Amino acid sequence: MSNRNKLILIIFFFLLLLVIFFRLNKALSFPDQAWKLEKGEKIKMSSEVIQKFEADRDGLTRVKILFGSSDVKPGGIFNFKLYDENCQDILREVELEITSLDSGNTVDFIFPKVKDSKNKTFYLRLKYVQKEGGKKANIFVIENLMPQNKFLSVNNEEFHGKSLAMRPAYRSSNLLKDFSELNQRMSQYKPWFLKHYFLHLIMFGFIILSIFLVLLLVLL
Amino acid sequence: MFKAQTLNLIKNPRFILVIILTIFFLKGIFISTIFPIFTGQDEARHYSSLQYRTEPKDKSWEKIDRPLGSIKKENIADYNFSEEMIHAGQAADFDVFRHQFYNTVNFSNGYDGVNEAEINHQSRKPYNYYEQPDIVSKDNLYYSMAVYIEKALGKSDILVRFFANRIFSTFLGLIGIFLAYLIFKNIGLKEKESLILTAIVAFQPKYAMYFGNINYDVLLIPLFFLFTLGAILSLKDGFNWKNGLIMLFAIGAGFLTKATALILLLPFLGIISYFFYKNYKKKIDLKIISLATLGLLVLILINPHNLTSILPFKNNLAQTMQSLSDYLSKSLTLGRFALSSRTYWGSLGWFSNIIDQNFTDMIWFIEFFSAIGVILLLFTKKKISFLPEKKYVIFLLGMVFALQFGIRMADWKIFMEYGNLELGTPGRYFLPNLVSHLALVFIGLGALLRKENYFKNTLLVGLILMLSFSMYLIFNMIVPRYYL
Repeated sequence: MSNRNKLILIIFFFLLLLVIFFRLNKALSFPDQAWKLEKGEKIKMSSEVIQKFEADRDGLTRVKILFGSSDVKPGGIFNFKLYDENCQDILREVELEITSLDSGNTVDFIFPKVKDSKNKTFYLRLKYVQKEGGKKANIFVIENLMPQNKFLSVNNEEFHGKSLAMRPAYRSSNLLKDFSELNQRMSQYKPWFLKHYFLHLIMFGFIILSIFLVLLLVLL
Repeated sequence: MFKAQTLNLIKNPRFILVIILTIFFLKGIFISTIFPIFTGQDEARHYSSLQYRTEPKDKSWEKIDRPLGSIKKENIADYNFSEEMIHAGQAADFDVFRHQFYNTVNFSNGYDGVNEAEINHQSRKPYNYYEQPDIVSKDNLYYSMAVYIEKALGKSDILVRFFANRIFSTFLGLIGIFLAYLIFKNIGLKEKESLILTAIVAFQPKYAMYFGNINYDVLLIPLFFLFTLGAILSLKDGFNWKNGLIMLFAIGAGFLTKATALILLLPFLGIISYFFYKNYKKKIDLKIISLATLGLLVLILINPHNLTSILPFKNNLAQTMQSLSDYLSKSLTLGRFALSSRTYWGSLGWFSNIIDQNFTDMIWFIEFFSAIGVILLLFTKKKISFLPEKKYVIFLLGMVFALQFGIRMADWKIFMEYGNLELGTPGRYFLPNLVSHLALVFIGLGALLRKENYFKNTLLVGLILMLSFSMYLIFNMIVPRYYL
């Protein structure tokens, strides 16, 4: 194989790896499990959902929302906006196109990290515009008496002591800390030889050796 | 001097093979770790079978009479498992992540789970208190082997024993990868091509996932590979006692593992017939072949499965043919083929994204050209120097057809009994032929491309795609599903 072809193959390989690890990096945030993700009262989103909540950690970067079975085909577009407490400034905005929403599907609204989010109140506004022929999306409203749950309104109707079935998710200040938190989660309910350092060794061992193997087989 | 030595070392095929095996083992252990307890295919029932085998013979404890199927199985406590399994499952939030696809374990802020200390404390016995235990089967070669691990680690908690058994499965997968290498080398592929193809098998996502589970298939699959190796060696060196024993051992051990191994009788009879025919033409010594046939008859006689009961037959020929026609019209559909294919390649079906929805189309596209290549290879007189001879290709095709035939016969038999596709043809049923299948795919492409250099490049692209797909499933699917 010519050197040029070898180089193309190696670039192709690294590009694929880059996409995979970029996607992992994008998804790498940790949902606050104090917020229950369960199927409560199913409500059709006719106009908009407004949820006010207080963040428990710094680094708010994702909101995971549980949807009910919705016959949305051929799909539609979610418009997600995150405002400050006074609902004045849009802090983050996400437009997300979906093609289906089955029972128990969650949709992740991922946005650039809000660094100093701890103890701050945010105002989430969610709209769904369906394509022609599609139906409206269904959300779940559940009992939630947590002080962090400040306000919920669905289709302009206010719900006291209730919230969206959702979870805010956070990232740490750097990637190493995030990987450490991921390692902690993966270590739970595992025997001692698959925890912490052993798990790091196993994971990075196979990734590094896999890259080495491809380089070896392409270059030799 | 040092540089030259290092270069020599990394160029050494044995070194590359060790790297491939190490990667497979580490990746397998990682996959074993990221799938929470009991989440593998029928894994809880297989582990229950293992525990049942480990119990003392004198079961002096009182039993509960709860017939299987008497209650709706909604939670782990509804299964007739051991007290220890049910407790560990509940403590580790099994009911949450099994039934709530969108939910995860309730994580703590450390390396130990919220209820992990309770599991470590071993307050529950690994004994089954039910009159009718929920197990797959009592006698099985895989359980006979795995039970030693369960007994050796008897004083440790269930997490140590369970995950040690998963690692044992990965070890069996490792043997499978080594056998794959031997098969590729012996069908006539060159060293480097054999190594790349071995790496492709090692990165096939479903293979690694399956070998991170507790399931008797993890013994059956390497036994299929072992049989394939024995048959390839017989085609290469002529039928001798060595390769004959390899094949008979694989069939015998397969019989003791799972009824699927009965399928191996077909290619074995094919090999025997081939050599009888060859003997007729070239006067080869028939002694060994006759002995092998005798050995096969003995194996058939002592095999634990009822051969006649597995054949589908309904009252009379007309009804049987009607049932076959109904079965074929329901099972041979594009949707069912697509499902088999998706699960064979490791799709988890958890998220509906563009990759998950379309990757089988790409594989089918490649396989279509590969099939043309295989047909060309079989019907052209000129030998392609860098590809295996026709006899190997025909044998590998025979293996693929035999397994397809066997699985579909079993599926039809169940269809006949239940009136619907109860068993189905999930992709994992076809993993025993993974080596034969992948070899054929790349041989077909090689036959179409005709140049060794192109063939090598295709293998390298195949390796990169397979590795990337495997990484994608691990880091973009499994990890987010269970941990994020």
